[in-house]
Amino acid sequence: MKTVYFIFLFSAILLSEAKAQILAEDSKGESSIITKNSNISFNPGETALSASWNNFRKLAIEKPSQVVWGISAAGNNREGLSDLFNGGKLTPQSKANIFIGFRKSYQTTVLELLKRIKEIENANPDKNEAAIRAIKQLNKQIEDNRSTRHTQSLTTYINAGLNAANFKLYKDDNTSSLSKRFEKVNFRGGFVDLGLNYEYAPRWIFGISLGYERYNNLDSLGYTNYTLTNTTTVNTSQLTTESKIGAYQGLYMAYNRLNVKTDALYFGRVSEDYRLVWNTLYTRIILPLQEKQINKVFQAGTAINFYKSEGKFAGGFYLQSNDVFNSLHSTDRFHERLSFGIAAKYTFSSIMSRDFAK
Amino acid sequence: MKFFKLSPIAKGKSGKIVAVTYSLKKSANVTFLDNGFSIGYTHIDLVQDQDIDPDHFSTKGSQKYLCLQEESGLQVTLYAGGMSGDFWTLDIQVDGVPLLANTIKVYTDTKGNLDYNKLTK
Repeated sequence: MKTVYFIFLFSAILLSEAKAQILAEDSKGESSIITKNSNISFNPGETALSASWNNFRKLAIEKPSQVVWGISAAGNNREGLSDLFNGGKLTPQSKANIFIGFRKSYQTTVLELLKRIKEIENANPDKNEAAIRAIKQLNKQIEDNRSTRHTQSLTTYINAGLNAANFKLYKDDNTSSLSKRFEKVNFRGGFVDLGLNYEYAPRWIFGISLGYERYNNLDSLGYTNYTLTNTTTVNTSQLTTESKIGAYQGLYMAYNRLNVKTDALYFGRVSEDYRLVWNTLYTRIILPLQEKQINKVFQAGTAINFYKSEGKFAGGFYLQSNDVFNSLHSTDRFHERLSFGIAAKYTFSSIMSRDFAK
Repeated sequence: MKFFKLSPIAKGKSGKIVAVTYSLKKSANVTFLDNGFSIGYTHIDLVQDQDIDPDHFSTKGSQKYLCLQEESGLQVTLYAGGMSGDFWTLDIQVDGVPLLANTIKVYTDTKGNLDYNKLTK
């Protein structure tokens, strides 16, 4: 138990140093909720470097309905940042996706009244009494309307893309040549997600998505570093060369699956300077198709993320059960199927000073 | 500067047209309502005034808005929505002079609104 307290304490210290945008994600950085301030991000947990281009800046202004779109590409190394720099295990992965969404506001009456105010203001640059009186009356109607209902919006989206991974697979059935035991595998997959976000200000955003994906079981394979030595003898001289090869071993397969994701974000104010976004309960249901060797998995977790009031400098931690119903039969003890981690994300905004002149 | 009577019914109330510049900043989840920003009964075009940083809006260079300043101040109106803890801040200059009320700061209320509609000096 002391270890757990220590981890919490360590997390709290680390969080104060972490820089990030708002996180609403699980341990793999995935979410069914589109956040407004997505940008180029650098995620140490997944060692991903990604770039995105979207029209989220238009969401700063609420209209009766808006089209949201974005494209993004990400490349990362499966085995971690330090290994990437050390030149050790290197399994390059890449992912590119495009999404388009439709956001509907529930402020239509107010937005109509505001449009009317704008028309009156533009038509009366002399600010005459009649115009001012009309504007005041319209503002009164707006205030009455807004005092009775919560700010709400609904976003539906489709997100589709391709992903790729290149790696080596060790197969010990080739007896003629050791070097040929390392088979180069190029995985090419794809996915499509349909999602729905419902925002009920000031506290909640709910998200659900249903997806179809071509994936592989690389996560469950073992990874080993091999040293292959070749010796050539000429007369009395010997030449020895060594090459280091990192490869996965086990039964590799690519398969199709359905993914269902749900998220429920709670927004709160911690202090004058800090805010929190608590993903109170998120679930990830993975339903493999066709392959009997791959089990269904139900994951669930909770994640708390902190950010500074202006939306920068945040980090958080999560607690996730990677297999709630023990579908993989890894261990019968529930707590041993839990994972705990710290998430921190460095965004383009905090890396590049261009966007934040101050 | 043009001074004028608002109207014969306004009984002594007077105002003048002044040149207004402003700087508006918001936290990430704040959304301003379209056409929801006016100063001195003049529509402020937030779409045009958005900076490279999507959370900042301001008049740039020699850009200014001609607004009505009444005896009791400028009527400043801004409607926005946001999540708990979100806020926006607004600094206004009248003919280059900052208002006494600067910096105006509004937090999200219990309905998810960050509204402001007041005569401001």
